[in-house]
Amino acid sequence: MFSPSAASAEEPFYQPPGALIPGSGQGRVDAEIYSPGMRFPIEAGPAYPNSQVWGVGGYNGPPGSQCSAKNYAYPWFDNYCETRSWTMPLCPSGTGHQGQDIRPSTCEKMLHWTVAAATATVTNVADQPSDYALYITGADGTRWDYLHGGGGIVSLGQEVEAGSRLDLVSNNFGGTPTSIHLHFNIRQDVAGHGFVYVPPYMSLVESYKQLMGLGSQPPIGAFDAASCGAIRGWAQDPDEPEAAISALLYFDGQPSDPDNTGVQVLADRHRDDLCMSLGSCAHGFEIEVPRSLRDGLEHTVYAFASDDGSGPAVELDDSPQRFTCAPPAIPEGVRRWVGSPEVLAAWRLSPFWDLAKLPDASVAAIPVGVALGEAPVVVQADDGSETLWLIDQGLRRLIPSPAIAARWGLDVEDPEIWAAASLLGLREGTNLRPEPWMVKGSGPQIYLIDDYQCAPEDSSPLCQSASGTTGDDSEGGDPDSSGSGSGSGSGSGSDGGGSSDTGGPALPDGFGQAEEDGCGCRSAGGAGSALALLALLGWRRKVTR
Amino acid sequence: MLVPRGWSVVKVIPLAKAGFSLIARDGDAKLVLQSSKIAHLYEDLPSAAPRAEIRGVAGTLTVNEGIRSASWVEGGVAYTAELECGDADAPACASDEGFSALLEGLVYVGGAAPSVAPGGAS
Repeated sequence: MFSPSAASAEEPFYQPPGALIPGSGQGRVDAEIYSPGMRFPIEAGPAYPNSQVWGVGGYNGPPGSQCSAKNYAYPWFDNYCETRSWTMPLCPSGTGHQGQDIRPSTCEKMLHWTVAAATATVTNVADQPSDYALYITGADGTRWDYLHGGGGIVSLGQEVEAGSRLDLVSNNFGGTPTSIHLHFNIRQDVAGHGFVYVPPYMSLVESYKQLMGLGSQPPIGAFDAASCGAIRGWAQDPDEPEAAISALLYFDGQPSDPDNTGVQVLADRHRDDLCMSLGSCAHGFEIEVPRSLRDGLEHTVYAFASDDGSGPAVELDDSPQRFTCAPPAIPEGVRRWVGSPEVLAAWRLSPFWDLAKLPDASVAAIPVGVALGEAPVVVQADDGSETLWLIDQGLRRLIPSPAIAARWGLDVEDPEIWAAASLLGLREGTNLRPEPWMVKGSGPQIYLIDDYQCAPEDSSPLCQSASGTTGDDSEGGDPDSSGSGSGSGSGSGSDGGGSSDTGGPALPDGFGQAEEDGCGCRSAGGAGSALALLALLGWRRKVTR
Repeated sequence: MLVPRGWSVVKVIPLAKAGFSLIARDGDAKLVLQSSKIAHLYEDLPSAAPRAEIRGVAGTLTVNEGIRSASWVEGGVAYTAELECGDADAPACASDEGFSALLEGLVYVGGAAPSVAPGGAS
């Protein structure tokens, strides 16, 4: 007898997919896992996928016994596409071996159970002496084939759970015995090809890792709370305990629900309470309740964690959770029409994170401001200053901090560089607000709540309140000659008003007064397209908050 | 549903959303026929061109561990057929031509053949 070699997480127990035993043909280099979540098809390990023909004792292999310890040792070898004369559309040569040969832990027949690779229906059994094939078929039509077995205990049409026993690994091959092994195929209907034998090797590798606890353990974590204060929890990859992994939050639907909104957040927050239990501290995650879900209704959130993406995401303990949050107070200001889905996207505004739904009367009560420009323009002066400005309505508005820029999704890495005289010649508007805030009534129109930009000697009542401002024009030169006045301007684009004609510092092309009066009457992509974009934008801000 | 003319149908197994699986016998030969209406989509999956004509359409004939196997798409439905033979010299088992003739003789039951299925005859 011999002792099966031990596999470890440190040393790969398998040769790469497509790396056949030298001289045994050209394999298919394919890391696709065609049967994700599959259960390894032999009940207990170890097991040794390798060649029966080019291994020790094989027809084309070194002399010796098929029971040689060399055949019962790691590493595994792929033998899908191993040289055969059989037609195989997915093999590089067009011919080859259709599946993977797997030796059980010992060279004994009728001892080692095969088990169902997935929950499935039995669609073929060996019920006559000449038979040696057993098939099970899953709900999606994937078929897993088990050849050369004996002693089957399942019947045609029987439903089997993943991991339930099917038959015993043996050497049945019609009238002529073969070596003791399981020949395992995965047969799928593949678009453009019809039914094909797909490569089973990486599905076997991943399922074997699960069976033997090798290499990849699923993430762990807990969903601590979903309250109006925060949505928080923690997640960790046991295989890389110091690394941060992602938590996946699905609002108002499970991951498979097409109507959910998913958010990916990095679980990298330091939490003292995790240090002792996990041996590593920075695995917390926390986000605010999205504004669109602060509507007085109950919402459900499911929390999952994902490590390197090779395995399925794992639902965290205590998931799902529910929360109900009252609508937030609406900030003062004017409402600026977000005129099209393109504008919404260009400004990286998220109806999921940034938008509150209000009664129509509440929306109507908010004074109308200038429609939002087509896209934000971030500018820096060429005098060495690091100050960043947003050009809006022909004004320069200070971006107070990198955090605020990030909250608005502004691209501050590559600002436009303007001549300092031109930039500082613009009248200064209000600082950019700390975060975007949008509102919407029952109609399709979406509005950004923003400051009213008061012109000098502006008589608007808004200029008497905190929400309006004349800005700081101390460095802007003659205010009468600088950019747009009240309610004008359309932001960026080639259809703007061009440079000032009043003798003040010139505006770069496209950033002057516009023809419109700020009614927000720009042609839009249509309400339907605006709404269609909402779901997409739910994912837009995959940010760590 | 396609069935082999003159063979004994052992069992027809409906498959949740995918189609059906049919097992039929003729002596010690067994035919397992599975249909699928759900295709898996993989990007960039190169494949050699089909080498055979089955029931008037392009398909693949091969042998898997001594079991003859065929696949083709007919009327928008993908089929796979496996033939296990106790007697390798039986007409359907001895050659691709014999296997193809068996498949050519599959007939539709339970409904008319799709109009695009040149090989179907009920």
